[in-house]
Amino acid sequence: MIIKIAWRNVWRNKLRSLVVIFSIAVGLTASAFYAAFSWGMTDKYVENSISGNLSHIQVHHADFKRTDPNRLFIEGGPEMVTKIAQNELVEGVSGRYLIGGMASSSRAGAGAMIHGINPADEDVTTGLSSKLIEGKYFEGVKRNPIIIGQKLAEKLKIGLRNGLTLTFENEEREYVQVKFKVVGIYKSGNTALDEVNVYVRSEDLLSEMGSAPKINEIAVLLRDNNDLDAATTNIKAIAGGQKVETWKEYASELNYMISMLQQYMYIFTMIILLALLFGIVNTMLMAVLERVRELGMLMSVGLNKTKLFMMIVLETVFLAIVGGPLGVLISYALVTYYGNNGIDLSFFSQAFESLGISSVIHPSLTWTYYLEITLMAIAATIIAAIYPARKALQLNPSEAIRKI
Amino acid sequence: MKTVVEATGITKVYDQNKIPVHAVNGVDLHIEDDEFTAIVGPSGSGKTTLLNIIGGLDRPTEGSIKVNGHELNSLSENQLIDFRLKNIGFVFQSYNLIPVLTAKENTEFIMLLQKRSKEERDTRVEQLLKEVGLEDKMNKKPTELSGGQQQRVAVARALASKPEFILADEPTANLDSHSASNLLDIMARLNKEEGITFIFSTHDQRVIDRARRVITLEDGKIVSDVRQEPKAS
Repeated sequence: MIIKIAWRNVWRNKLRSLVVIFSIAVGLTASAFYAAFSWGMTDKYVENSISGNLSHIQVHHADFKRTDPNRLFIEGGPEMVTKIAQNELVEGVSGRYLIGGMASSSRAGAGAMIHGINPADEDVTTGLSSKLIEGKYFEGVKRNPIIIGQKLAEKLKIGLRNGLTLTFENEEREYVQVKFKVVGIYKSGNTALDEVNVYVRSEDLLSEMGSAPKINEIAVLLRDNNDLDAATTNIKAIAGGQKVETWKEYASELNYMISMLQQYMYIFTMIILLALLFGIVNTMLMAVLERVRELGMLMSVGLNKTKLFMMIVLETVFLAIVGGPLGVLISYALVTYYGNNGIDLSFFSQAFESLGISSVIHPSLTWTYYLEITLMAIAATIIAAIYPARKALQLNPSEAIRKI
Repeated sequence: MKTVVEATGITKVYDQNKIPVHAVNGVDLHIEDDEFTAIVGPSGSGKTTLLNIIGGLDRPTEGSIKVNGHELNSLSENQLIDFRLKNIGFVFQSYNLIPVLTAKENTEFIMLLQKRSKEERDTRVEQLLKEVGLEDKMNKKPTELSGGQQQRVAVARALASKPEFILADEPTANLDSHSASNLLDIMARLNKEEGITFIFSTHDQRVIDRARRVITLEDGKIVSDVRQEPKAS
């Protein structure tokens, strides 16, 4: 009977209850959609970073330091690339010769990270050819072709077929200047990288330096990120004493970003639920205060305090039980629709690209989060019911019953 | 005859703006089984306060109150709630039905709190609503009933718990004369035929005329306590 009374009490003031239900639904939808949008954005960023540049696993010399990659070569690197490529979890492997240097045209100069690569391997690993917006992938020029980013091209004020000089230290620590010709200009979606990374054939680089084939970085792209641990174990076995790291280690900022995003999501959800909580406290307090005489009567005729408390809490829980799933349904529909069709933020594309984020976001959310957020909303409404319910318990039945 | 209410030296002092006000002042009262008693007096004479103390809704500042052998002063809040549930039926001036429940559900409510079986509830609710002449309004909600009909549901609800006695606080105050007369007929019949004790607080002459005992309060004190032959309706 208490459940029946509580349920019917919810619908005594339909408009008020509908407003609360709608608030819960909107609050949940806002939280869920924000979370889905953020996840979609981060997922894309991580995916772009891995497939476009970082790759899943990198192998370096045991003493390798990112601040000074130049002269620590991987022992037996080229053979190791072949062995790793045979692993069934691996999609592509690229052996790189990285050198920090300077790129200069006749009009300007800029710092550059020179990637000496095997074009075919690099293309499988990072899809470099698909990012070209001008020119062809290492075609059209026989001697010393180079591919540069659009941002660097703008900075150096050069275009296709223009000459570009790379300056770097050779193995004897002497400065070497080598002329290259631009055969392609790429745009990766991350302007910071486009401004720095240039790609040349490693054979061109090595011949200029008079060096035997060698590499100081192996980048490995996996078929599935979920195989990261298994693939790392396999590659460690192949790499011997070399340093094998996953993207979670060498791109720890991505990991921080993900965990930070999770914190933000929960903080944002908390803020929404807190606002909701005060709204519900207000509504339920009104509902209690306008029923003082009725509550007094219930206590007079023998409804004990536990049941009275339960009745008011139940009224609030019913609001959440209706509003919660409604919010989940709306947010699920929105997330699914925009997850499939994407949210086009090309208006802000420049700002997004400078951060390495795609301008089309596909929101996504796990069922765990839907469940968590629904439970959090129900918990918040129960907490919100406590104060009004306590107020009701403090009523003196003999006084309450005479209230007008 | 069994003593239902035994009050000795009952005093209730309220603190009104830090000035002590004696709502009830040293009242001694005995009410027997089967009585049809009206507590009368002008507004502020202490009728309702005395009724609240008898019903365990309020505690006296001084004195002892024994109802059905229970010393109410010694009961905790929860024990008082349980005591009210098992021993007393209440009829209020403003009916105070649960607006979201039908007449049947309102009558059944207390029996549910008493954990009576469904079969017993159904039988008794039907019988009670028939007794108060509302067998055809069982599924109506309070807003669909007149004031008189609502008060008759309140009487049925008060009787549902099979209480030792019924406390009715100004039960006819909001009723027209026809509804009031009708309600009094029902209560008088229940008192006569089923031996249910009624204690009213009222200043309605129609109720006073029907009572067999009239206790008059003034300034919180009993100034007269007379037994009389009730007038016919």
